[in-house]
Order: sequence, then structure tokens, then C-alpha cells
Amino acid sequence: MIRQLARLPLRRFARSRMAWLSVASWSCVAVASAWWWHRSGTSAPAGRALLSAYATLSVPLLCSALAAAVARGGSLLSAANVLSGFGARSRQVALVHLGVAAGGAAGLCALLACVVVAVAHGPGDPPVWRDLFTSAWVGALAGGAFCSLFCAGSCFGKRGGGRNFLLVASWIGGAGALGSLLPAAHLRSLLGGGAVGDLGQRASALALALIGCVSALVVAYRARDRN
Amino acid sequence: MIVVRAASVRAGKLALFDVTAAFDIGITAVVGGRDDGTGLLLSLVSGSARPSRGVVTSGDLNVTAPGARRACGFVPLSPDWPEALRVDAAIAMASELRGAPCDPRAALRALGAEGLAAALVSSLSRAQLRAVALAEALLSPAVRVVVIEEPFCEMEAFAQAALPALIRAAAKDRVVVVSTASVREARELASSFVSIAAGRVVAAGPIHALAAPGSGESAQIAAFADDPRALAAALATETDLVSLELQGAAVVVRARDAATAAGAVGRAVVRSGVAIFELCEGARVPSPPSPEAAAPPSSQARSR
Repeated sequence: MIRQLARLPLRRFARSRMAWLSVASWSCVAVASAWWWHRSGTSAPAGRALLSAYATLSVPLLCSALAAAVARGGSLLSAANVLSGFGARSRQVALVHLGVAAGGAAGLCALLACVVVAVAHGPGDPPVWRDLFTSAWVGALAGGAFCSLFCAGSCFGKRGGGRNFLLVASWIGGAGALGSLLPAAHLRSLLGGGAVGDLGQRASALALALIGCVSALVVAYRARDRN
Repeated sequence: MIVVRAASVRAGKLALFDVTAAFDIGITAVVGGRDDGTGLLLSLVSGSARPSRGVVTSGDLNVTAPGARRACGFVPLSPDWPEALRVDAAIAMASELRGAPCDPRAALRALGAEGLAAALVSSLSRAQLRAVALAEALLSPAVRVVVIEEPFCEMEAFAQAALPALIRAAAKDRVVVVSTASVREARELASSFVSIAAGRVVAAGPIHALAAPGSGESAQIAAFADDPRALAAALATETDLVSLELQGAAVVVRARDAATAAGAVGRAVVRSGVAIFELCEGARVPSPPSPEAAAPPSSQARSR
């Protein structure tokens, strides 16, 4: 059943030109930034490249594009409701949509992190294989958390406007109390940036996982009464 | 059997108040305009809308329960289908979710729509999508309740021809609910009716109790055309009209119902090529707009 339900969001993403364009554009921005840091001759260029364009622009915007693609650019609830008309449970459909988007975002963000590290790697960075491995799992965790959050945002507003609100909030959230509720600050912390409040890197990793889980619960709750 | 008990619901400007109705095996026509709430009643019956008060049940189940929705094929005027899939894949997915296999090509062939099988759902026109949704709803073995909004509106020509026979065949062992603004269509298709006006049920019963078009009740439309004689000549070939009269610039037609009269005028306009500048429905024929009233105010000021 889940395989059946996953076919629609997968096709939506595969057929969404806007999503592919966003993925390509923001990946190019991250790779160009990595190349620039590599050429700049500063120490630890890979770390700086990950903290700059990759964490600030590419991951949030790429995840937002994926969440929008599976939700047809609008509300996730109405996008999921297409299959409820044939008797599928709304909650199950919405969670499968979230799973597909979050899984896709995790894979893409992990891959992009590896590419950024491979391009930018230079003196002062950790050994390349260790750096690739660390960046990949951090990217995957952050991609999944970001995309889950945006999917939860897509359940609010007639056209899923909550998604855009959360995108802006993740930029202006900083590393304070609001920032600790959003994935951006935790991603920066895991990539070697400033810590979020008193939280260490392990706590930030847990916070990202928690944000993903809470977002899934929000989606399940919002989709509860559609059937 | 679908039972609506004291159901009220509001959606934007449309509302239903305290509606009670029952839909049994066979074809039931919900007669009324969309503004009267016929579409809303169909949404309630299909489980795609919830009543704010009252209940709608299908057998022992609430119609909004997944089990009931699995057995209900709803074809609204704008169906929401999996737009990213091909038509055959979408029908296959629908039948898998409903829990009963259905051959997509066979279903489409029944409505003469097999040419659409390989098309992407998002590339279909609304009429084509309605034909596809109808094929799936009428021919899926899992569907026990078929709900169709205005079956002959926004419908591909190839599907229109096969539709009445398919609906009648489906109604032998299923509940079929159709909405229509045309009394004639309701009488031709259905075995019972529920008449809705301004969000309330005003009449219900076997179809012979529905006021017969042309039996005392008729609709009148006055059409003001640039060439009323040409329009009248074109209307003279229409067989559905009860009467036809030329009154100055207006051609007054009477038919069994407003939809029949409007359809005849529309066809006559296309055939004759005349331009219509006003259409009035009702018993009174208003006087045509005078040339003085139509003159621009600036020219009147200059003449003063």
C-alpha cells in the first residue's frame, strides 16, 4: 500500500520542472561557493563553504522546493486528498508524502554536502574521507528535518503558506530561543558554527531528529479529520 | 442505501439547511441549480464534505469513513485526480486503492475514451478528465455508489453518447445520484428525484411526481438579437421548443424547462451567426434597450 501511495509524490517530484530547476540552481550556488572558498586560500575552506552558501541558502531552499513539489505548490492536505477520494486514509497519504519529500531531501542534501566538501577541501580541513562521511550524515539529517518542517508548514494556509513562513523564520531565527526550534541553527552548529544556546553538537543532532518527528506528528494531526 | 439526516453544511456562499433525503439503488436525480446547493449535497453524499450538523450514512458506515469512500465514485464538475500520473496508471492506482482490480483500458473503452489512456492526467481538458473519472467510477467493481454532478455538462462528445446506457446499467445494482438543472434530463434518466431550492429540499419522490416539462409548467426566454428574424428562422428548426414568437427585436421561446430553451437558443445562434445582446428569462418580456439610453453621455452634453 505504501509503495502505491508513494508513487504519486515521486511522480510529482519527477515531473516538477520548478523543483528540478530549484535543485539544480541551489546546488550550483553551493558548488560555486565551495569553489570560491577553495580558491581563496583560507584555512578550512570546506568547513567555511558548508557554513556559508550550503547551510544558509542551498539546504533550506532545496528542501522548500521539494516540499512544494510533493504538495503541488499548495497545501499538502489538499494534495493528499486526491488519493483519499479513492478510499485511502488521509493521514497515511499525507505521511507518505512527507516521507518521500524528507527522504529525497535527505539524499540530495547528503550528496550536495559531499560534493561541496570534495570541491572545497583544503588545508586545515579534517581528512577528506572523514569530512565526507560527517558532512553526508549531517546533510541528510538536516535535509530530512528541514523538509519535514516545510511539509508541516504546508498543512497550514489555504495554499500551504505556512511553508514560506517557516522558510523566512529559519533565516531570521538566529541561534536564540526561536532558532533552537528551527533546523537552521542546529545545522550550523553541526557544521562547526556557533552552538545553539548551551546545546552541544550531539544535542543539536537530536534536536534535528526531534524537529523531523514533531513535524511528522503535526502532519498526522492536521490530516486526521479529512476522512 | 445512502441516508442524509437533518444535514446542514456551508461552503463559501453555498449552504444546505436541515436536508433529509434517502438514495436507494437506482438513479436519483438531485434537481436544482448549483447555487441551490446541489453540488454541496453531492459532496455530502460522496463523503468529500462533512455536515456541520446531522449525519450522512452509507449502510452502517459514515460516508466520510475510508471504507465508504472506497466504494464511492464521485465525479464533480472539476475532478481532482492524480495529475502527475498517466491516465491508465491513475485508474490502476484508483482500483488498487479501492481494493478491486479494474482494467484501465477496458474502462476507458466503454466510454470511447481509450485514446486518452497514455495521456498525462494534467494534460487533459476538464471534459476529458470528467470522462476518465466517469469511466473509473462507473466501471470499477468496487464502486457501489456513483455520484455524478451534471453528467451531460463539461463532457466529451464521445462519452455523452454512451453515458445514459452506462449509467442505467450501473444503476441496476448500485446507488447512482446525479445532479441536474434540467427537469427533462432528470425525467429521462432517473427513477426518483430530490428537488433542491435555496439550500432546502422542496420536493422528493418517484420521478413521475416531478412536474413534467410542457405539462402546464414551461420556461420562457427572450433573446434580443441584431437580426431577430434570422434567429427566429434558425429556432424554427428546433424540435424541443413549445412555442416561438417574434416580438420586435426579441425572439421569445418557450420550452419545457430553461435549460432546453437556452440550449435551443445557443444552437440557433451558432447556426445563424447572429449576435445576441440580451437574454431574459421569465414570463415578462422587457422592452429592448433604447438607442437614446445607449448613447454615450458626452455626446448628450455636447448637443445641449
